[in-house]
Amino acid sequence: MTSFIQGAALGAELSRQEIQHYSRHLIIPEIGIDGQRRLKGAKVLLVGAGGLGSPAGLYLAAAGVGTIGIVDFDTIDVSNLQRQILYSVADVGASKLECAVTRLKAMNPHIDVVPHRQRIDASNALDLIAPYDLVVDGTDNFPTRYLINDACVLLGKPNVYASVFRFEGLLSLFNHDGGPCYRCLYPDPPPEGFAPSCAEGGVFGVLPGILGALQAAEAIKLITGVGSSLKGRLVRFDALDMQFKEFAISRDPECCLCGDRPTQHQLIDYASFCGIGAGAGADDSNAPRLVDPSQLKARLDSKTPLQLIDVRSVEEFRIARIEGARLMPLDELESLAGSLDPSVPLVCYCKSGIRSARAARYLMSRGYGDVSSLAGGLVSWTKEIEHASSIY
Amino acid sequence: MNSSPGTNPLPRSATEGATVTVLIPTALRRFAAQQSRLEVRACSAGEALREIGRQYPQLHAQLFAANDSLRRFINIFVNSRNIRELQQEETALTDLDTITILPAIAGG
Repeated sequence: MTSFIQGAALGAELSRQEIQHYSRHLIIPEIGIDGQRRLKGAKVLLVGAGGLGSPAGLYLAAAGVGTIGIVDFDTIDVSNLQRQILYSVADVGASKLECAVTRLKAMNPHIDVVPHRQRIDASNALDLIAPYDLVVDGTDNFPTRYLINDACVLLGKPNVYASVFRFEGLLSLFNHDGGPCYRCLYPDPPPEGFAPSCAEGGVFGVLPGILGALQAAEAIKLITGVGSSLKGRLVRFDALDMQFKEFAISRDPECCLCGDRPTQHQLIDYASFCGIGAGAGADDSNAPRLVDPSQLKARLDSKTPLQLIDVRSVEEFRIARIEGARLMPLDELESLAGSLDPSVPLVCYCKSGIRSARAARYLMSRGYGDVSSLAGGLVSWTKEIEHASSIY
Repeated sequence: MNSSPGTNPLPRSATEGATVTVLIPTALRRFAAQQSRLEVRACSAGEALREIGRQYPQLHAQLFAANDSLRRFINIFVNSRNIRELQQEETALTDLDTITILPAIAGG
């Protein structure tokens, strides 16, 4: 049996309109009027209104969660629409937060939707989360995942967690009723670049839809106290095989945050914990030289010898590329680099300049002297030089 | 693209141990010739992981740190149980066990 979340209040009596609105819940014995009033009294903070946050927010609102806080600072890009079902083409360029609030309130006028237009960070996370009963983590990067986990542990709030990569999703409930926290499962983050983001590695659009809906289901169960919670269970969903698998996880007595002898009692610098920007400081002697699009264009036009290396995936290469480039995906660079001519200057590029900087750094470590990376990648190239190219 | 179990040749030296399947997560398939599952013969979880690392050295570098310990952003499950809560790398294997590698992912 799922235990009720601590501190959640029973909402006020349901109005006639609410009784009509929630009738399909009210006639389920496990929910009934008491369960619906618990939903009405509940306060859920949704961090991130993207792929996971869209379906999670829609179902939490539809279910009648009385107060839904949303934290987001982003604007809607057309490439979001393949999975972020809160938004439509007419919303492109607008604030995700404003559109999400409008959409959820239109869906259910009986609830409060509280906008928090800010990037959650160590300076505001505790204040943001403290007024809520539980958090639904719909973020998309490791620093924020650890930040939310740590803040939830320090405040004693359950964290309904999901994450996705291409066709795979993970789902669990952290920091609830003696169960593990995210750090118990993953004490350290992977190195930068290990797990490409959705922007870099892609994501099967319906996948966050499934996982986000499952997050909403878990949150609603926690609020109403029905069923078996995901505490101590990690669910992995594979959309390619259409398989759910479950793994047992437990609190780590040695966990630095929620273990028997915790050593961390406050929030930390999560960018540095996750190695973001490590080695990219001004004193970094290994930093590759940057070339901007106009400089690259001039070098290409002058026909001076140059090896132009595209380090993206073959799929990205097929969408758009700079003429004359050779494809050497970053993952295969180690085996392919032997075919490069060390006497001819090298320029690496990718979509945004991050992977190409890694590639350039690697080539320099292999002894190639004249290596540079295209600043801003193909995105900048398309904006400044070749307007006809597709931005993806 | 994905191979079926049993299509990988077993190492000749491994005459003992159990035949197990190791499931490779999407994030690591690029280091294992895009395979989603590998079949190996091994006595323990650690041995199975080192065997697939022998077949795919880039995969070994992802699984094991420079000091040869398993990386802490990767969880290894034998069937449904985490080897951290069993006997770590020494966790014994029996035929038909499935080893699942679950690295941290963050997309949302």
